Amino acid sequence: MIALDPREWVLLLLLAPAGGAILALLPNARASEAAARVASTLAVAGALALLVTGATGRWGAYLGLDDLSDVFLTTVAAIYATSTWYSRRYLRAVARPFLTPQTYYALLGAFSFAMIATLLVTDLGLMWIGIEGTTVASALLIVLERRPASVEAAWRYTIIASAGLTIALFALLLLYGATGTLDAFALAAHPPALSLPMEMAVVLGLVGYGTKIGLFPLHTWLPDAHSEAPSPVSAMFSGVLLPSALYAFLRIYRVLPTPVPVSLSDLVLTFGLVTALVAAFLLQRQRSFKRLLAYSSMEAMGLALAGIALGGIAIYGALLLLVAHAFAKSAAFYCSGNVLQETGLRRIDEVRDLRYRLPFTGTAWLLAGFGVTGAPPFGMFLGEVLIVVGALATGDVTVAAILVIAILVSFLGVNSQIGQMVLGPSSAPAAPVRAGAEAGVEYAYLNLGVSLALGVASLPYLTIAIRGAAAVLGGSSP
Amino acid sequence: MTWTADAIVVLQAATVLLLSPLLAGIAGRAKAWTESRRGPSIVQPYRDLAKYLRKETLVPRGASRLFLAAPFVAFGAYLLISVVVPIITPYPIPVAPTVDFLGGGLLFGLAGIVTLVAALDAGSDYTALGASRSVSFAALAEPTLIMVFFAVAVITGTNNPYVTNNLLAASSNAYLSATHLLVTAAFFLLILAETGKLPVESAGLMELGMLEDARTFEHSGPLLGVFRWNGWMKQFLLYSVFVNVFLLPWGLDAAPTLAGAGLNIALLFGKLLLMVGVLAGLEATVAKVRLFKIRDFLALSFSLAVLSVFVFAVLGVP
Amino acid sequence: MTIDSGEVIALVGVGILLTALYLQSESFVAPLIRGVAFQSLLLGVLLGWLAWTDRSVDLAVVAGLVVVIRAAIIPYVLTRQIRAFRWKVRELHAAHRVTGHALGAVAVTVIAWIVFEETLAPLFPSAAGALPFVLLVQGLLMLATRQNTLVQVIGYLEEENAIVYAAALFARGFPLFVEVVVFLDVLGVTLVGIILSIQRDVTGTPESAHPEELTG
Repeated sequence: MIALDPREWVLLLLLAPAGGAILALLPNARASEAAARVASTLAVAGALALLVTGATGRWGAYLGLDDLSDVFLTTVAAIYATSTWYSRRYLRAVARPFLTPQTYYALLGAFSFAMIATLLVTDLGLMWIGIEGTTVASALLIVLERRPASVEAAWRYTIIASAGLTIALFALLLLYGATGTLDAFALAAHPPALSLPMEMAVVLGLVGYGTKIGLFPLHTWLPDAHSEAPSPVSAMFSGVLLPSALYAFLRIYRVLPTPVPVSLSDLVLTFGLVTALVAAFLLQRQRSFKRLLAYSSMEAMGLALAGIALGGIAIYGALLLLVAHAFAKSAAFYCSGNVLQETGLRRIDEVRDLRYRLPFTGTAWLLAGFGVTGAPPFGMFLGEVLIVVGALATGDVTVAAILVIAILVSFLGVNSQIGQMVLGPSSAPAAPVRAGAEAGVEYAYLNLGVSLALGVASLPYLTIAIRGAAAVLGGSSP
Repeated sequence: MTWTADAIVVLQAATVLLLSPLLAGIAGRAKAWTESRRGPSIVQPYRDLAKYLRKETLVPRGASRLFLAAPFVAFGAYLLISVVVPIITPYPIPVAPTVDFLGGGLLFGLAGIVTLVAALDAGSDYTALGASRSVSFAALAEPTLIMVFFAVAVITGTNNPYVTNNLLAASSNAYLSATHLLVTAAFFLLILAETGKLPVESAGLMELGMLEDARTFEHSGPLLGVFRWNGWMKQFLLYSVFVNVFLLPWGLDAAPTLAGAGLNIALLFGKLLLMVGVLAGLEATVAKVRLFKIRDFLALSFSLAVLSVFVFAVLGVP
Repeated sequence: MTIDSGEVIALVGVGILLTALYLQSESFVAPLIRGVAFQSLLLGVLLGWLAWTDRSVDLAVVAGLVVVIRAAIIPYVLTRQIRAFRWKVRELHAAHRVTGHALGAVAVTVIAWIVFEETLAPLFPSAAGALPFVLLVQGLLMLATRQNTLVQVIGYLEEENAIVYAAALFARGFPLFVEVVVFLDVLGVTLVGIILSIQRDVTGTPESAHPEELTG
């Protein structure tokens, strides 16, 4: 292992997506695609190096790293890479793209750069700018396929997310007024005395960042944006954007002294539980499979937030859930992208017989469905179990019951729908499998493998990092 | 010298009673002048009153005693209001503490309610139409009136209109405060709505566009005469309260003598003429709004009144 | 003539409040744009005054930025959008609800103030402390109740004004204050221009319609 200064890996992590974004604007489409792929791979390399060396610390005034950042960085970089590599297959089949491939890769790079930058800075204000930057980049990506519904989805996403982020900025103002600084690392190391403005800042931060995380009732942009965006971008939304917004909120939450005042943790818990429940029930009524997956992401975020609020071992569970979910959900979206482009259908009741038409994709999708709803042996199952155990440890059986209900309802909803699509018989004669129809499914399997590994074995380094991250947030590990 | 004080009470009531038709006549003449007409004489309202007294009274079948009593109950309410607000004196006259500002507002409401119920009692379609319309506007106008009085109360700490008048006359800080300016604007818009000036023109007898006049459609003879007089008194009182308490509280002679009171009457009339002139000019420049827009107009006035109290709560009066 | 700082703050505060009420109840888009430009101008005046009393160059720069970008350039860009899309000139469904919007604005003002007094008042000792929070909530109300995309942008601009207002009153030493303001403005302009031109290119239809497909 090359013993490079962690600072250099950090710089690599920052420069790679930025460079990829700029180089992607080269006139030659192949060169642009190659540049994007190389950049994303370098980003993964950087993130893995930081993970493996377990580097933590601060560099300069604004860059800093701890275990929590490591965990999120690995997830973000990995999904960024797989989405970029998958994008070739998706872009080839878009009929009238609104963006040229160069613009697409550039925006994808900018999107990832903003998120990676958010995860690498120590200042809450800069984190806010990063999240605001992701809004800009991702809004345009949604409109790739030039449909009226896409424009409306992009607009709704932009306006709701920006409005929410303005509230989050107000929260930062309050925090600055109460504590005199916005340095998240310094504040976490020496938590200031609890005061009412600090509590208000956390509440407003929850509401503000909650719009980006997709918490109820601020989630109205989420299903539309996910279903209208191209599949690799949807994967990044679910797997990367939502967790990054959650990360930004966690940094604010971490400013509170442990033990967190009950009123605040209860508020966060309530938001999480309500989000998970509402998403689980709204799942059942969906007619488009991409919206189905979007609501499943919303439920996962709700569960994760509830886990964070419960404290103790549930925090470890929440982090594990986030990572496993990101990988499994991105796999699901890649499969859905294949299905969408091969069949041209968006509605669940129209898609049937995938095991014949797209065998590999269908299998992967079925497995991904298990992965995102927390079936054993996937990692998300372990995460959910730990969250429920954490709820029981606090003695609150109602909370545990609600969690279990949400998990079960969404499990049934998602898997019955996907199962119908993959295994359900169709009246039409089976169409021959087109050569190249299942290109790109390898990324789905790759991500599924990671998600599975998280559940089955203790992945080296990553599990250690998750333990460390749980400790950062004041939780315990099994 | 209590007989002076009592005499002033009578003088104040008489001022309102006797000068309100004159004011209405002058207002009509001024409006006609802006329209390049000569218009009726300024004493025409007195002649109208005399004419009404001579005419016969017709009562609809099925109307109750309320139909007959309503004009007089409203008349009594206005008469009571005329002696509790500062019209010719800046100091409270003996009867003034009967009701404070809020009570005055409620008395206005009483007069309106009784007219309304009489309109419903008449059993005619037009009166019911007028009643329903005026109530739907009153739903926004009454809260505005009350809000205006609250705003005044928060500035001075009391509901006593005389104290308000003295405070505003004495302190330019209070006069120019945002609270006072906003509440004056709100009250002005309210006066436009209550006295039926453009853009909320509620006088006029086009059947399907009637607002105020529809309520009294079935009354005739002396009853109608008393209703007309009520309308003039209401206009006089609203204008007087506006100029004496909100807009131009200065100049009232505080000497508790009849001569002082007489001087104040002249001064008041001067201010009222100014008001009539401004309103005539205003009416010449705006157009009548559609019926549904009157609600928006009143909502605006209510919002201004609420904002004035809010501004006081947030900023305080220096 | 000495001008009391408190009076300037109070005057600007009342002006901003009245403008917010006006923005809620107006249904024509062009006056709305002028209204929000006026609000930004008032903010710029406040910032300029504070820069003068504090003798701070930073604040003067921010004041200048606010006036130039938010009171001149952004309204100009938005007005051009109206001329480009004739059908965005008025928001019809809001024209029918002026009363509701005006009363809603007032109710929201009072409620926001009560919430503020209960929770945040100790942190904002200044006289006009509640106003930025009230303005923030007013912006949100506008976003929630309107469907015309240009009007929603104006609601967003009002929110940004609230943030700048809050920072001006309480956190003048806020790090990155200037940079954040600039970033917000540039962001706003870019997004507005791009998404609206996309909308014209793809749909040509007026306000955010609700296509059949988007259920749930």
